[in-house]
Amino acid sequence: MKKIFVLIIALLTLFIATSCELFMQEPAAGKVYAIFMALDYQVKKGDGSHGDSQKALHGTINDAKTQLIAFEKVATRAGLTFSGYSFLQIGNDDGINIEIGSTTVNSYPTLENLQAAITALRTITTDNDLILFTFSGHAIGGGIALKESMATKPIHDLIEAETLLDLFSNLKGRKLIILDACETGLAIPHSQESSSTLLENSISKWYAKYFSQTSEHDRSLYVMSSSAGTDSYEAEFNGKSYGVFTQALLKGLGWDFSQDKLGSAPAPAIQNDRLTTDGLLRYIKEHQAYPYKRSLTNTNPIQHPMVTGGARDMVIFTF
Amino acid sequence: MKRFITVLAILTCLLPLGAQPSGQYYSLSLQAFPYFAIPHFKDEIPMRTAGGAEISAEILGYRFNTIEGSLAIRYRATTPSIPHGFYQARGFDSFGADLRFAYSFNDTLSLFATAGTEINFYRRIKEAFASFSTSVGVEFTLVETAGSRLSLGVPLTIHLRKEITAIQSGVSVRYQLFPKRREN
Repeated sequence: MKKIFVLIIALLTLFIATSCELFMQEPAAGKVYAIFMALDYQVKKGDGSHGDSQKALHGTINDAKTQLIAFEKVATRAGLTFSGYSFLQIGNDDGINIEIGSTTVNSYPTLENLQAAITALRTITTDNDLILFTFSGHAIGGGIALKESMATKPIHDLIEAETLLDLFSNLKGRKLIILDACETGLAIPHSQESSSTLLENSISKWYAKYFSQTSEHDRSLYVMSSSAGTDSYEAEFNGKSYGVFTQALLKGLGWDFSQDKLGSAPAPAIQNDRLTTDGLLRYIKEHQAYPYKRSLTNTNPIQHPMVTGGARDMVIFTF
Repeated sequence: MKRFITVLAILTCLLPLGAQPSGQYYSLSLQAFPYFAIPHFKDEIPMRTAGGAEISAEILGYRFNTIEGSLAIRYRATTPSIPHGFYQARGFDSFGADLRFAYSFNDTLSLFATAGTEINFYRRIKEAFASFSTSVGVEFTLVETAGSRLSLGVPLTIHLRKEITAIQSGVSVRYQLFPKRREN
């Protein structure tokens, strides 16, 4: 019996010793490139009346501006070089020209300008970089309300989720797309292995997926959404409007809303010195002002944040 | 899939009939294991290492001479992988059922094999997936009485997921209870 125990222990030790994580070198994190896009849809006509095809929003610009500051500070704390670009539509203001690498891009949030920004990023990003894109605005069925180009102003088209994600999938590096808008869970690309229990709650479909042939997708592209197939909301926090989802995300990064700045303590969503998409999602669900599931005592609307499924969680920052 | 469920249903019906004599048993097993996930897609490393534990209950078991057969239900918890690089394998919970067969060479040594399926739930995100498992292993009897048996097993399990094939090899402790005294 003693020999058997020795054999078992030797076998287990051998297995553990073969763990790749113990002897393979970790890749060094590259730079962070971030695009923060937000629209308030508060375009005025010449007579002062609302001139936009979409309803006005009040928290989106705060979302984008605060996220830029928060992500920059968190990235800096992780020892990374951060380049952030704001693409904001504020009332009737036109965008400004910004430099991305050596390319000049207009910052008015349109599909055309976003394409130009991504083309510019393509020339400077590497496999070890993190590309972050946030969107705060309107969306329906996963498609985001964005102008095709400056020429279509002030009408907002619905840009299909596939169109948006295809733009990013051509980029090197890890891509994290954060969408704070209605029904954006429908924009999340389907995992080849797993199914969302919020959107596809059927055992037979889970088994069908096992045997089905699914097309390969960009596994370095992750989408985090504010809601599954329902509306997303904004609310006031310390006198300023934010998206309910983004407010919880900012708290997860360590944003102190009473001081209106990033707190000195490490981001509370960090676990084991890593900030991951799943860790951030868990924090948002636990701290979101509106609940993510229905209950008898809940009178607020619900919105359930989601993230891309599959076998792997993505590390955003390592500290 | 329908054929598999049919076979499972027939076996489920037949086993209790055969288990009417004294060879019927129930069992409870606990297992701890390292979990080596080999992805079918391009990853930073060829294999990610996690850990896990499993509890399984054989609810319909029958032993005849040197042969055992049973239907087991089980819960398995697999941890996230060891952090490495830009990604980490997600942890998940599994609920499944197995058919188990064993052959005893002598009073102390048995060889066993299982085949089963499970539904897995990633712990932090609301995503689920189906998978299949099969295992082989050896089992050593530690203590045996007329109505019970405690044994130590070393199973080698292959977890067949769509995106990953995983190997788990651990140590299990299994307690069998024979409600009626065995005749063999």
